[in-house]
Amino acid sequence: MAEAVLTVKNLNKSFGRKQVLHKISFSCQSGRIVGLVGANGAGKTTIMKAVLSLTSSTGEVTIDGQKSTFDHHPVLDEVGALIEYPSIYPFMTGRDHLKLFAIGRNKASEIDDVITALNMGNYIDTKARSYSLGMKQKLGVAMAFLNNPKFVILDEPMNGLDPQATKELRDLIIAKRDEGVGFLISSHILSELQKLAEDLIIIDHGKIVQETTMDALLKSNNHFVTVTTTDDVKAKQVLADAGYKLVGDEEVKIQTSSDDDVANILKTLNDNQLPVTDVQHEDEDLEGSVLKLLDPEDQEQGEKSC
Amino acid sequence: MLTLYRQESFKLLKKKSTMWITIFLAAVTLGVALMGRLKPALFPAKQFFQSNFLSAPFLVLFMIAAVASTITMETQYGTIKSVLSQRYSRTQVLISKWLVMLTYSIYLYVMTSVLALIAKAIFVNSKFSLTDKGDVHEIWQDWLVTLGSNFLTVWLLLSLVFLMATLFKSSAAAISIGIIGYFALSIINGFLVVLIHLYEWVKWNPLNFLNYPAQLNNPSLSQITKLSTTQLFWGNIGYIALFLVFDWLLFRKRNV
Repeated sequence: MAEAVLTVKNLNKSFGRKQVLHKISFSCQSGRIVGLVGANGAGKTTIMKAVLSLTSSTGEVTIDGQKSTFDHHPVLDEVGALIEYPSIYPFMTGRDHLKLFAIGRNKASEIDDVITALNMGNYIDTKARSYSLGMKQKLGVAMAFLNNPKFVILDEPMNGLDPQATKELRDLIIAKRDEGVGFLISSHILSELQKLAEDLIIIDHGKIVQETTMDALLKSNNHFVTVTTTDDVKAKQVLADAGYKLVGDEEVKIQTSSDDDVANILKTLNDNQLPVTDVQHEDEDLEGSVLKLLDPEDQEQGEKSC
Repeated sequence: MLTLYRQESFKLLKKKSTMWITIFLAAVTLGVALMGRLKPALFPAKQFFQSNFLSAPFLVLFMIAAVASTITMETQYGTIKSVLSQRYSRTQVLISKWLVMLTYSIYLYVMTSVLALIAKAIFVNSKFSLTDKGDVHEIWQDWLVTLGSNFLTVWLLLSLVFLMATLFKSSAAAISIGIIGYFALSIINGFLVVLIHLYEWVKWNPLNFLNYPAQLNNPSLSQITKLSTTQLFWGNIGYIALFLVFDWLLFRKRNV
């Protein structure tokens, strides 16, 4: 098991009388990417802000073995972050931003490295007021990666990035992960998060509803097989009579529960003189799992209506 | 802490306005001195020299804007997140901002004062001598006393602007209060005199302490302010400390 670079215990946060975080506890390991998932207002950004001492909270935050509090947090030297939207001074160039926050020796080479990694050379020396949303986002990400942090917090890092930039960022995150950097990433683009995150924390209304790994969550998902036969109406009838769970009205889509199901389905159809002309597999993705977790009632109702 | 001071200075130097303010104040200082030579009736050189050839009032307005902006721009641009998520405490962040603004104000005062001396030597050297009798002492002494006391009262205003900027997170509110404070004395001084005459405790209000430079050049003003120059000096120091402490109390609890 890798070393915990971040440990959060019993984090509570209230705005006035409204409690927005309820006893949040989790940890992030070095060299692992943790996805923080939840609906708008679930408390993702508040958790990140509390870890970064941007907002006061009760509970315990330990980073790289050192306690970090609202008033005293020297260990944040080891943390890079992009929260909500990039923090940009419009009167400064991108390089000025990196110079401003660079610390330690070899500043110039570190700045050049991050500029190269994110392919920002074309505009890094122009004033940030002229940057597009994507350029600003890249600069915010670059600032998060500055000073070789041991742990990086990224809040919606793919916002405004084009496909090329998204891939560059994904590659950079994976490269840094491989070097041992720990990540806590929130994103509404769940397909992207699915490509990155190894561990998942799913929160709803300020509470952790599930803490799992991406593999375990996806394994527990529903799997479907869609078949096309010479007589789909009869095929549906035959499969229903055989006890298979059919999903959807138009196509012959069957929910499967084991690897053997597909062979048995094909055998059943074949036995009933229904030649299969096409077979397609479909696995529920992270988005489906999250939606199911965050609103199980809606999901159940949806299945009933099918 | 040194890193924070460096960061704040870097931001200030990267603003175009910082350069333009230096150019503008230099132009005013040299321009008014030149006018003192060309139109001595309209621009009395000896009198205007006391305010570095009229650059001092502009300097105050620019400093009010700079102080308000150093706090509020961080909220406006969202950069407060980057500033506060470093290793440093909020107290260190705030003190670094105070120190950079203190350095900036000293720079502007020294720059305009040196330029005023140069302008005096170039344009109006024949109009008066620095060793001539001034209002109280020799002109050069009155000039230094005026500059020093002005600097103190300007910081009384700037400490209030710091507090307002932290409180309202808005440049407009902080600048407005600073400028109103700056002009309030001349506007309501008459009213203040009556109030102090009626209720002596009113003499302790911060506006009365802005009379410090005037009283140094005209000691009889103490009959109106009801305070000695020593009391005015320490009152300014006290109010500056008070406003900055309130500013710190607010800033150290700031949630982002």
